[in-house]
Amino acid sequence: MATCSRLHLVATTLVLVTATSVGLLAAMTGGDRHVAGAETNAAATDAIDVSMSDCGAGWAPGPAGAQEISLHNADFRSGEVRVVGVDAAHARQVFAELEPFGPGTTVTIHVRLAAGQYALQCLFDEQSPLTGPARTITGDGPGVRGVVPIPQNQLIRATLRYTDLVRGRLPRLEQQTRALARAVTVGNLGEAKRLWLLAHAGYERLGAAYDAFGDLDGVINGLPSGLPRGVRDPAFTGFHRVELALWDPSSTGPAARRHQAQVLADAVGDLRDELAVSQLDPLTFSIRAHEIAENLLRPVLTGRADFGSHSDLATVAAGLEGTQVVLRLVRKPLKTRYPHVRTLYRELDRARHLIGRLARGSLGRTAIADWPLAQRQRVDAVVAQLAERLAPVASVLEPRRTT
Amino acid sequence: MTGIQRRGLLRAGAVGALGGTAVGAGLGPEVRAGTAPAAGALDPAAPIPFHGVHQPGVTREVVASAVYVACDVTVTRRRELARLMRTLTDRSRSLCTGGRPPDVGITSPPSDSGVLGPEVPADGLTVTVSVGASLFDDRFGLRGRKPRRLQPMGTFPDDDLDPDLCHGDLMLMLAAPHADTVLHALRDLLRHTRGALQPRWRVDAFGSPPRPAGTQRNLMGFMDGTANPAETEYDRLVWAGANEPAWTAGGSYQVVRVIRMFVEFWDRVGLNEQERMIGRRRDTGAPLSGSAETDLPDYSNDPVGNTTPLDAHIRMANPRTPATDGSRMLRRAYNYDRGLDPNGDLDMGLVFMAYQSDLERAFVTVQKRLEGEPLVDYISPIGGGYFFALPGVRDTSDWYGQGLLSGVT
Repeated sequence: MATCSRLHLVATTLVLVTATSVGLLAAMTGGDRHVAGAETNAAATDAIDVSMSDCGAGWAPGPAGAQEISLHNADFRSGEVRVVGVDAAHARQVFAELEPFGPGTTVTIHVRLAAGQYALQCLFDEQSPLTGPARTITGDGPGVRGVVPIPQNQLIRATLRYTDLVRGRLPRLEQQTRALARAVTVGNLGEAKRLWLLAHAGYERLGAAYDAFGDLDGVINGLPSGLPRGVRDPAFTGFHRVELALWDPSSTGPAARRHQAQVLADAVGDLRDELAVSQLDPLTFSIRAHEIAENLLRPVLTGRADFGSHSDLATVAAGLEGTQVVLRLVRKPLKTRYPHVRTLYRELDRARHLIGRLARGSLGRTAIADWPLAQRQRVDAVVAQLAERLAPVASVLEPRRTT
Repeated sequence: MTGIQRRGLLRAGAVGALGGTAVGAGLGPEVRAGTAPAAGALDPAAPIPFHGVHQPGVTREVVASAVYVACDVTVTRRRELARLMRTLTDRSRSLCTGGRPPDVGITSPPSDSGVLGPEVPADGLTVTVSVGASLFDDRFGLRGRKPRRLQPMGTFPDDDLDPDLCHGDLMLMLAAPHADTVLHALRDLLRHTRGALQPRWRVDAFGSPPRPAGTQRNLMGFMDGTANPAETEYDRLVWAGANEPAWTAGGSYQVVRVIRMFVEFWDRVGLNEQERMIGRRRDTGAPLSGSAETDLPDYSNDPVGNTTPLDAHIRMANPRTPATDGSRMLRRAYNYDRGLDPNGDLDMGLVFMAYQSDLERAFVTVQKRLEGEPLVDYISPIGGGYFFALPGVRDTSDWYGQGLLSGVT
């Protein structure tokens, strides 16, 4: 609070020097809004230059609490500026970051800093990080938590293990989809449905949300959205196309049904081939956990991914299992970076328990639109809460330059 | 356009300052002069004090934008319910006060949606939290604490209720002079209560500016909400009182009714017939027995309805006899507009809201009196519910429903 009034004082002082009489009147008679406006103007004239030769030597932080730091990129390169801790208690921690930061631009960042020693750190493109002079902040004001950037090798290791895990599961998945195709060929739709449920849950368990597998995910598990002819579009293929063919046999002739089952099995085979020689992208790994949950909320829990099997709860259960696998792979780096990690695991367990129980009951075979409202609300609430809880995981594990 | 809106909002504010007294049309220039001419329609409005014996949203005049969200509580323990109410209080207090949202560094996504800019203005936001009868079932052990007159909304003979638009454990009614302020608050409240609260149904609503003066018009073109109790009558007619659990003091029974208007049909009805059905002039809002909106309807020399038909809406709703005086309530009418019918008709109408000290004595009695009125051909109640608006949050250590939830075993 003390810091707030300090900022206002500064702003008013600057207004006295620079503003026209009209502006002055506004600042004096108006509320905080006008003062805030004046602050913005003041910031532009007050910005601290950063460049490859000087990473913010002009920075003079206020007492502990809210800081407003205006930075001007005086370099010809674009890059990134951070507020980092430099004393033993805050070493290597990042408290704020401005990224990207284009040449010639001026930007103000807001961050709360508790007592300690901090510095600005400049990371210009293709240049080693440059850390400015240490500044000591004193006072009782609260600060945000700092985050130590996850070392790149740690993230790569986790991604490799995830890739191995997916690789290890794909032969089984391919087997199932091949068997599914054979069952369709011989006209055994009951067996085909059984295999479809197994294989689809297996695929969802891999956590393929949001392009983990690139374009192949669209071929394997895509929805007809964006296709001009919808479910009739030839580009609609994969699990959901086969689901439609199996659970609504009148939608698809026998030849098309056989063809679609074959397309699915072949696509899974292609994924296996591709992953045998390539890696998943470490850059997207850190967002995986929360994006699986997002994918469950929409389209799965909106009912848009149900083409007749009504197996959405099995999909949710599989997605939560995938989330748990991903979290397990980052358990160590997460432990020191996310204070709510225990709550997160507890909530994930609770969600898996609830969803598992409901999936085994009649809801597991019922279209979402027909679920009793209270049940639907509980499922939505538990998955949505999880998505909120998982969102910071992506923030703290975001791949950041360290060299 | 800005000029017109500004005038409208100033007038709305001015009426609010009078607290719904029946002075009405006398408001004119002196009130306008008394209202600070500072705020344009685009400027954020000043904060409305959050703490008090009553929630400030209850007696608030209609403003430009509102949202009604009925929710169900998805947690199952009373402790978790109390945490939910605390969170709702903290967030509402913060939103209604305004300020810069706390920065979070790089530890998580931003704490605020940014919809209102980096410095969140209070912008005259009010959050009104009410509880439905279903909250008092066996889940939280609150059965014995239910406000005595609280019950689920029943079906009246002229209703056509959509179950997906009825009831709820909790009603959140947000109102502010600008739609972005209301939606910003809605997103914030739902984000922070995710996991404990799930929206059940929602209606967005708006208050029209006075056209050209007086009470806002509804989408039938008539002024709606003219006759309301005076502030001096609130203790008797609005605030819950006698024979109620102690925690309810400062609260009020809230009725929300989503009333569809068949506007195409209505527009095909002659003006005389429209006015006879309502009991007021469309242009001026004057009762058929008077000349100005603020004239009190007078049925004393009109026993057979020569001037005001016996089945006119305002006459059936409030016959203005000593016997029916107690059935008066504080009414606030917002308009809604939610798209199209399958046949291309416009889906619009009224979100009727009323506060009273006794549901049965006020709304239910009036609604029964209105059964079969000629107007029912043109309107159709499709949703809503009965709720109890919680007492106000008294200070920084108080929270919504503290009296209800603390000490329950």
